[in-house]
Amino acid sequence: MNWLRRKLDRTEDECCGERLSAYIDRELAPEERVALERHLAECEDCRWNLETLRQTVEWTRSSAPVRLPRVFTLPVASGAPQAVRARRPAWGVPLLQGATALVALLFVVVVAGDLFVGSSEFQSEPQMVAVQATAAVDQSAAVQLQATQIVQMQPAPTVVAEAVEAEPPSEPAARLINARPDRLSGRVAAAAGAPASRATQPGTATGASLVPGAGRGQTGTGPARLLRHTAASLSGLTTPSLARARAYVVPPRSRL
Amino acid sequence: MGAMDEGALVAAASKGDVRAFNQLVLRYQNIAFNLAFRILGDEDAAADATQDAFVSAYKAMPRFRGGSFKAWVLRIVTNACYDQLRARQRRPTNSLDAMEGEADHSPYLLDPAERPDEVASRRELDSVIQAGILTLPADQRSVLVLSDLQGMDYQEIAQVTGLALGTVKSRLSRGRAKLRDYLLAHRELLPGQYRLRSDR
Repeated sequence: MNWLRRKLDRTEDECCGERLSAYIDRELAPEERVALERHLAECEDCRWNLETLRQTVEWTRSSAPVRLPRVFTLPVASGAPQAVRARRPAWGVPLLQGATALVALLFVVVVAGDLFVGSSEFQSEPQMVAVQATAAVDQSAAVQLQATQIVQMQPAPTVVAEAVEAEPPSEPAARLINARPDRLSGRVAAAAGAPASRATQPGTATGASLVPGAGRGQTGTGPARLLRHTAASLSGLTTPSLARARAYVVPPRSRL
Repeated sequence: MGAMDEGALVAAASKGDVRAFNQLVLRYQNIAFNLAFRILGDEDAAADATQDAFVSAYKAMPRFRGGSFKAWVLRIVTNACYDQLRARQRRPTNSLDAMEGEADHSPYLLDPAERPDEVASRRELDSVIQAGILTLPADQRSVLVLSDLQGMDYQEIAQVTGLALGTVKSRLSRGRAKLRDYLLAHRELLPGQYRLRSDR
């Protein structure tokens, strides 16, 4: 018996339609069922269709159930079913909002502090001095200028000392430092003049002696280490990139 | 809590009682997961759909207007499965291939009364039937699963799917005919004792 040829010759839709399926489920009205049984007695194709359909349904119904991989109850303690699925992103929104607000606040504090330092630093001198200095200083001088501003904003003399140690000031930088002794703290100026000895001598009046952990090379405390890394990064920049970096850091008042 | 009838559990869950809702989950998680697995053909996807459905059901409990809680939950499960199928159409995966590749892993429960050779034959038949179900269009698939795997009558299926009785009847008929044709076309995959009688 070729079932495919049968299907091509005559489909069940052409004859009994969906009545065979409903007949298997005993969902036919009594008169429909009687009429169908009368037809089945005469139609071999429909009997074949009914037989194979019934077998298919039997096998499907006898198919084994699937075991549960886990229970699907909701967490009682939280009372918040949203927390069941960690991949739902809803919880992340307030966290990101908080982080954004924190970053914005820190940015405002840094900019405000920088503005304050810059304004007090250049208050008594024409801005031309700063412009001249900026144009004249080479890479290491710019590092020192940045470090000086950082020092004045948050005293961490050891950083300045180490930044100075990293690369001795060139001529313009020295001029800048010497020309503005009132702006630079005495400790920083002293460190620039004799970096190695002052920074490593405990008990002297250098910045290294004022900060816990300072004078021990790279083992400074958190903020000091951060500032030291900043100074080291700036010292590694080329002059154009340094100028770009400076454009981000230096407040507009001290720019051209 | 465990001795509460379903109406009391539904009423408590509607007021936000998670423990009462979890009692309902424990009652229906088997049928919900089996429905999802048969529609999706993948354990992980079925577990995701089932969990999604129960979370959605909990949130929607205050809007439950009575009637059959089972039909209401299974409707949410079916919709969650359709969501998964739509997502799968956007991001096609080879989950069926992966399932076939795990030859030593079977998601089906074993009947301890069956002999090992019967278990093996039963597994083969179950796998072929499940593969055939997955070839059906989604609308026919869900109706066939509700009828022939969950044992629901036409009225219950109409409640779960929101379809008219006539639509349920026609979709079930077409789904069964297609599954039968699939089994005939893949009869070489069927164990020896499971050959359609008319094909011998």
